[in-house]
Amino acid sequence: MLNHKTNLEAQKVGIRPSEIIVSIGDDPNDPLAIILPSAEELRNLESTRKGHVSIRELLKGDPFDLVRCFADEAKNLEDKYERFQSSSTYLTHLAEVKQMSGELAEAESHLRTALGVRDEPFLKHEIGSVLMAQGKDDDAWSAFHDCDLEEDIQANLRIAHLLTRKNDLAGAEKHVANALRIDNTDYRARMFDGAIQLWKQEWERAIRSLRVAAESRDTSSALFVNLAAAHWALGEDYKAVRALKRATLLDPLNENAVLFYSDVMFLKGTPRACVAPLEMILKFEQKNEALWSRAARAYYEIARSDGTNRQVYQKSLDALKNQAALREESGVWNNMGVVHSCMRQTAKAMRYFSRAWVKAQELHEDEDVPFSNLLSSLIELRKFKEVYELSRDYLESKDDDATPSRALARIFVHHIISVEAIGERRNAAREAERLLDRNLGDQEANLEFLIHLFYFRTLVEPDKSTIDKYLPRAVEMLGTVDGLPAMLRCRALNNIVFALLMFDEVERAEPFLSELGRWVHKDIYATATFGLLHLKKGNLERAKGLYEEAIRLATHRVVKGRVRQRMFIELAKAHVAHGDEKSAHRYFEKAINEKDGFDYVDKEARNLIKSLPHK
Amino acid sequence: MPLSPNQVELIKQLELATLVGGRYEKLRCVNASGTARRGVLSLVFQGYDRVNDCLVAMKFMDPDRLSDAYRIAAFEREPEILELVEGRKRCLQIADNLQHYDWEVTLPGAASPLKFRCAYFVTEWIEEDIDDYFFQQDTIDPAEKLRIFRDLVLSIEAIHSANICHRDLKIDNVRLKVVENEQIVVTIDFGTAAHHDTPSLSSAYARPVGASAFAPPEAFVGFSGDRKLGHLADSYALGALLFDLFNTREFRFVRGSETPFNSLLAAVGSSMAASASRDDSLKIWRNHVRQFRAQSNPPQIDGAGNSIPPSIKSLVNRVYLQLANFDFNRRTSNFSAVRNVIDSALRALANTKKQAEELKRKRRMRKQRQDKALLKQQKLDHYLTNRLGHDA
Repeated sequence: MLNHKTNLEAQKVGIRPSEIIVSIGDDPNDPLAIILPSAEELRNLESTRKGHVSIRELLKGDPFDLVRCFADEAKNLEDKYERFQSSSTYLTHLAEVKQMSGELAEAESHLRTALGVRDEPFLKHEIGSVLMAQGKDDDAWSAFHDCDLEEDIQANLRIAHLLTRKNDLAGAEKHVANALRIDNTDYRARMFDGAIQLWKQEWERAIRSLRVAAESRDTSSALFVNLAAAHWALGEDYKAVRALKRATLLDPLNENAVLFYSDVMFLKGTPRACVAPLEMILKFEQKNEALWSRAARAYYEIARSDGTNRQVYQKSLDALKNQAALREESGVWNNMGVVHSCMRQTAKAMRYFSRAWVKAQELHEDEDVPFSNLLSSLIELRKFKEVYELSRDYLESKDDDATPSRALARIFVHHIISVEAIGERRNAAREAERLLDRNLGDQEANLEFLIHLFYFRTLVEPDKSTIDKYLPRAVEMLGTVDGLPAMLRCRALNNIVFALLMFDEVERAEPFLSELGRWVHKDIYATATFGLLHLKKGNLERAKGLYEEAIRLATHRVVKGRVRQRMFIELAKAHVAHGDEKSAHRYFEKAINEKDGFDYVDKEARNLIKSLPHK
Repeated sequence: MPLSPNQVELIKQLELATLVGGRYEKLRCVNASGTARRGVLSLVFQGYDRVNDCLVAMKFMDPDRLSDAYRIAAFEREPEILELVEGRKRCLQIADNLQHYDWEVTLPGAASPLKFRCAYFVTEWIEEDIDDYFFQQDTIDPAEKLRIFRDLVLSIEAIHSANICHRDLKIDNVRLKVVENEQIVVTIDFGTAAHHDTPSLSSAYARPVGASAFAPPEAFVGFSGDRKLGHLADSYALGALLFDLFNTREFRFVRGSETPFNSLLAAVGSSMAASASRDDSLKIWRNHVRQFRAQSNPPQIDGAGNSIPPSIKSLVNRVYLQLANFDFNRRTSNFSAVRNVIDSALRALANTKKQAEELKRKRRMRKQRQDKALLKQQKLDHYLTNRLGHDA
């Protein structure tokens, strides 16, 4: 029995929210429209947007009224100016209070006076910092250069900092080296050196420097993030994970640490580990879309691994809504569609995919992925005509010579499915053959084309030469392409075996039977194909048993009907071969009478029944 | 803060008054200069007390807030608290309890002036501040600074022993006074002080009750009115003052620029906003502060611009970390233990001084010996040269 389509499931009946339909053009003859998520869903996004908390944003607004307090404090201090104008401590205090109340120029002036009173290196550093805060990098550069660079670590590091801001890391490295020459174990210098070594991809050196830095300050979250980066680059996953875990524990608000940790956990296949740090930081930092996207992915992957855990999917969806509220981009809408799709809310998923597609067009982002997903959801909704029209127009607009993306290759697959589903099987097969000859480069798509071609050339318009032509390619792909989805591999093997059996090439089918056998009793089509195998071997009872098992495995009425129809026609043929025309006639009749069966099988049965001798 | 017309008028009237309350004269406003003033609740004057023949400090209720019940209650609380520490050596002494001054305001076109009852009270006048210890710190011996700090701890202990917390400790609120030939430290301005057993004037405080200068982190997130934590606010301020005694850079500035203090505060504060009760708040505080512990250290007291002698660095740091801890649950209020460490530091300094002097003496002696030997050698050389010259 052949399986030529993506497994489709019927949409559950539910209360559909009233969607917003946005027409693409004014043309009344153009039925194509973009369906937005419902108003309720959009409103949810809007209300989410308003409710975001961000510590960083909060601090920008001076929640503790510190600027005013410092301004008052500055006035109090200014009252003592006469008395302490020759004290560098007083002038430094005054400068710092001014700095905190935002009066940077005055702060600079007081610091310069303080420096005149007492020539202290740290005062020069302070002046440099105030100049940097005012955006006067060149003046800051001079201030730091006025320091004794043979003795002053901080001045060297500040110059290195300024050079790094100008992307002159080679220059920065010299000053960091100078700082290390002054004190080889200085935390700041070691930390800076570690960062430069990371930039130079000198991972071992970076680890050495960062380890020395950690000796004197083991509570720096940033340090452990850097250390993790070096370990990760070296493939020392365990050490990288340990360093990242430590970084997130040391500073739960370190966004960089949490993001890096999450990404590593995804790559390691343990998304559950990053949920706690993500949930923690998202209590305080809700305006970082990267954090929301990680949270969404973590929940999504957990839900997928746990099966259909609706609550966890919902959490993923909530995270994506928060992400979308911060910045609308195609990817986030697409992801919402994916989650809805996993939650078996195909209609909703379709709306989100269409929104993602429109957004991708608006923002000139990659359209292929959301469009491919949109077609996929439409196929699940059995809207083949829409899929056909959309994919036809989309593919027509694409350059035929360019190497297609993986998503575009999927769009070709969806297109062929739709062509076949609207009854144009010959065109579908022809297109599949054309694409196979063109070779899109995507092996999964190529295998899909082969599956469709085999189906057509085995059952609808049997042609052994086409099977013989493409069989070596199919076998090669199955043998060489790693990581094929299990179900795709099963379908491909099944179609090969089925085709060979239909052309009575039982021996050629033998090499594939052991692998296909793994899916017998689990997969409808593999079980039915083994039924056919037993028929070809003359074991009618066993064959019938397997076909009946395949029917039981099917959950959808139409699929049951089609398997049953195939069983009847094959049993009829077998009876013909055994000379039992009466039974053959009966089975042909049953195949013809199968309401949910294929037309072409019906036609074949009618032709064969005519060839039977009349009694 | 600019002076309002009412305040200008009251200051003018009081400074021109020949006698206030039947005994105070020569009043001079000390917390207003030109058109601006310091402080929130009151106008402070220096006056002369004819009865006791001494200078006094007179604190008048802010004339702009004579109809503000909360401010009136807060103002009237201060002399009550000062009465509780009356007679205690290291505490500010009240000279005259709450009195009322009839402030006359003449409105244009009015037949007779309007009279307002403006509350005031009187305390002793303490002239000498401790600003030099902070702003001229490089000219002051570290031991002297430690002694002042120790005295300051004693003065806070004296207040706390009367179940009172000051809650607005800062350089401007500390004075030096001589009692029985002994110089002691006294804290002034009890405007935000509170007794453990008195209820809060307001149910919720989102900001520190005093100036935010040395206010502890919990005061920014709703605990500033909490009586049970008031004494720990004083501990935190002491830690900050210790930092400022030994650093050219200011505590708040270094805390703000080199630690994630403000972020942590905002993080804890945003969670506390939803708490319904004190227990809830305490629970949230405990959970959050535990998670942020590694980042919540106060600024390093021995960072750039510090003047702590190396021999006492670890002792001073120990006291500082106990006092300026972000988490009030881990902050010390055991001042006798604090004083013990300070005493150890003072002894260490004395020993270091003694050792340095001894080392200096030994070096001098060695130098003398070397010089003597050199002289001897020179004499011998001279003798031998002359003698050998003769022989030749």
